[in-house]
Amino acid sequence: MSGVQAPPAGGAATTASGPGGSIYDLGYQSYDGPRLGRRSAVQALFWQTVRACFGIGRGGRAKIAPFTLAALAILPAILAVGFSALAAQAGPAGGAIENASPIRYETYHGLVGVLIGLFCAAQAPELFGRDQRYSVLPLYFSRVLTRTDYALAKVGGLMIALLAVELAPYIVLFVGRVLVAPDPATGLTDEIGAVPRFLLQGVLVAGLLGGLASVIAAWTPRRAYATAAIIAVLIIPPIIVALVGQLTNQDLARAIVLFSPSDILDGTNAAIFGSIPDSPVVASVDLPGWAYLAAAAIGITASIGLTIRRYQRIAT
Amino acid sequence: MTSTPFQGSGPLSPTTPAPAPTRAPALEVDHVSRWYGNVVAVNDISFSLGPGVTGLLGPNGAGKSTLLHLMAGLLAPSAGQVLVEGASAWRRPEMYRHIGLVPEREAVHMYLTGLEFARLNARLQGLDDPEAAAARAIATVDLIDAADRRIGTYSKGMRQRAKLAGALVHDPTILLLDEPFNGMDPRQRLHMMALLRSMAAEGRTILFSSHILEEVERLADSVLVVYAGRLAAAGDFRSIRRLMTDRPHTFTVRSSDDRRLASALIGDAAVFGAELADGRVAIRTADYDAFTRALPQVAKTIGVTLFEVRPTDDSLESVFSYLVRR
Amino acid sequence: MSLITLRDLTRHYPRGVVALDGLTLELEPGIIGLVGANGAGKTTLIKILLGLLEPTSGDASVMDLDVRTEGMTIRQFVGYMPEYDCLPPDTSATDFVTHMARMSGLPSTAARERTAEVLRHVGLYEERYRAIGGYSTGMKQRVKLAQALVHDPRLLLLDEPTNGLDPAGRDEMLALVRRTGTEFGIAVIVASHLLGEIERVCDFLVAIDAGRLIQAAPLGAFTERTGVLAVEVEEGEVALAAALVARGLHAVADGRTILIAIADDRPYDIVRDAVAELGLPLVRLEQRRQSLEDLFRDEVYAPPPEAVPPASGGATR
Repeated sequence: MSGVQAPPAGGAATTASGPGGSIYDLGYQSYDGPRLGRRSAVQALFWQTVRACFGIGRGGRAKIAPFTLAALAILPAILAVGFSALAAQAGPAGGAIENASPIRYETYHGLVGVLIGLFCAAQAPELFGRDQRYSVLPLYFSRVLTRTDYALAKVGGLMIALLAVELAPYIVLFVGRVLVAPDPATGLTDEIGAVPRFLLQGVLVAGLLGGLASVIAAWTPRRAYATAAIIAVLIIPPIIVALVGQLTNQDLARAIVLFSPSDILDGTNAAIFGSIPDSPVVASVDLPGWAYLAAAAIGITASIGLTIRRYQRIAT
Repeated sequence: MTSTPFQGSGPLSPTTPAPAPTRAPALEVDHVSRWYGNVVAVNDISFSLGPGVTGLLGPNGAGKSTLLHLMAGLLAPSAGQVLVEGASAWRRPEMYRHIGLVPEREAVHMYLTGLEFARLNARLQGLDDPEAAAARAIATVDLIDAADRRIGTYSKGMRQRAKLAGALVHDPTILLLDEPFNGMDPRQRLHMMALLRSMAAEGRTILFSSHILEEVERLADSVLVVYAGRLAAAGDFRSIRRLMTDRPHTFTVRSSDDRRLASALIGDAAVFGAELADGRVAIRTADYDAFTRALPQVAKTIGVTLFEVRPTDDSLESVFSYLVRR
Repeated sequence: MSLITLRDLTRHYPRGVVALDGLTLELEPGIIGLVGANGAGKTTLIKILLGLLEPTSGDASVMDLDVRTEGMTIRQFVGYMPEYDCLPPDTSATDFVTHMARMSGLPSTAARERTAEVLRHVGLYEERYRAIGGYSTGMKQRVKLAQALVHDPRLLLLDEPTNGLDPAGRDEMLALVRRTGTEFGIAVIVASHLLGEIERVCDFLVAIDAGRLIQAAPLGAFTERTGVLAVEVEEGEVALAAALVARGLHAVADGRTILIAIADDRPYDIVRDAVAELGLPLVRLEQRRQSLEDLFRDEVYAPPPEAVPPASGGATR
């Protein structure tokens, strides 16, 4: 929507120039430059959301939580690469150490999944709650974006930020292992198989956790409540599923396990990497891999839809 | 500059030496201060109020709300005392019977209906017949039609009236209102003003704070100007203006020949400035009395017709801006 | 080019609330005051003009753009300053207004530069780098105005711009609004309850009540002379009144003021001479004018049922 002609502007110029000097007009100037329209506005909001996820532009204190969590998430990968490097120097014995390392692609989700969840719980409420609490939404809606645009830009920004935090460790692992391999070329071919897997898992994690956090934060403008709710949604269902699994039969557990986001992601991780799920319940329930993948996909779409709906119906 | 007590008529009077009145003033503020740590919200203010309408003015943060709460007995003075009908207001619940306060911030429960809110106040006041009192108050503020709807559905102006009803249930002789016209549309405002005027005519003492000077000018018999926690002026604002002897008066005149008039006026000793602008002559004079007598005489002598003569700074706005810019 | 054209514009809400009822109006660019009953009518009209709410029936266009189909284009060229608090406390004015400029489609460099300029025009200087949470009411109102101006709108919608301001702040804001309309060349609609402000700042008045148009006319039409000359003297009014009557004028005392029926210019000199000969202090001489308030005082019909429309988005898109 660029290139729209503005109706005639006003404002008088009062510049004066003579041989000895000039006075320049500091009065109000009209704007005759490009007006880039909806797409530019949505992109700007999207990137601002991504920056806000990391506390950029909000002062020092806002950066503590996100950067700490991101650092903790990436730390095991760095350590693993470091050990690999040492192990490589140790020769054949190093190979055994290498294989015994608990930090691998398939185990990574189990290691740091919680951190990603905490990241959501820490950052999502501010992203969605602030504009609601302070009634800023009418200012947005009186501009060139629609309510849906706003919702999508926010959700998208959160998801992309999460994706970055989620994928960084995997990429570090990948690159590290390639470089540490005796021969980078073979290293690459060895490791390349993991790439599409961790990308998929990363997207599912970022999508599902981001989506859930968005819905909860969008419907709960009070920051503390939203944070608590997000954490609760991640922590409580697995407990319930485990209890149900222990106390009753597996069929009931199988029915409800797909309502527990943490368990879904555990299941997708196992399905994608062909490994054993972390949660014993998930392991025993023995649902086919595609069930978890489908559940994740549905969860992601539903949460995006609910977030959009929230913003379409919110009163201003 | 001016701590000269105002001498005159109207609901305000000074509290410095005067013969003991036969009846205590309705409300008296006696060297009251209120501080919060090092922040002095109200700084040694004294005045007394009687029947009629008084306006309380001041910039934001000048201490008006604090002063109103002190007068209503909701806050204790850090120094000095507030006397209602001659007796101290602090910690004496029966004093609340005499005073009604309509605060600025939303002080109503959104889920109650107008009538329920009035009844609640009536019961809290311990009235014998809360139903009747509530109904009367609702009728006074003209909310009968909406009395059975929840306050949450009211417009801002209606909420103000609901608050006022709550403050009127116990038929107080003193009514304190904090920005009562906030958010009211013109008709509601006129109605509220008429209501306050009629209540004052019944002998009640009414004090209201406002930023909208045109309205204060119209409704209030006299004003209290508060600035930075201190009382900057009290009384009828025209009389206050007269007291500002260190400030020249300005007049605007439209005539049949502005230039000749200006030229002749400059010749008069009372005038020290005459400016031609905008189809008018703006005149500055240090001697109000001499100038106002000289103007028609000079105009007559030189044969210039006067079409309009206006004292430009005789408004409350002008007085106020002068007081708070010292 | 007509600034705003409304044709039989009507908007109903559920439960029988009629916010706008057959409004027909055509407005030229200028500084326009919008007065009326609280709540439903004014907010609804603003939302419709911004293309954020669909009319129930009737048409509305802003700068010849239809609100139903070209809302997004309209919003590029309209600035809106809401009545209530709408600023987040943890950002600076600069960051916030720049962001809003981007939300209006300005490229990032232009957004930054215009923000700096507009903040200067509204009178925010060093404080613009501090968080908004620490601003006074006056400063916050200025930020609100700045975000409405930053994308150089052709039309500004100001909703109670002096809300919460003390008299000095009110003065400054009104002067700013006047400047915006005259110097900056932007059409302005000021919604206000305060008739005094409207008289001071606006050239044109639109009065709405219960969703219906009561009046739409240049301000001069409301402040017509009444044919009554008011003379105020500091003392001696009784003697003056007698003197005027003796010279054939119809004069009536009203406190310290004497009211004279006037049909031509003759009484002016008669008054002048009488005052001069009696040596009285002449404080005021002016022909009484009607005020905007009379518009609202004389309304004979019953006050509208005041209601707040139910809280739902009802968005157009």
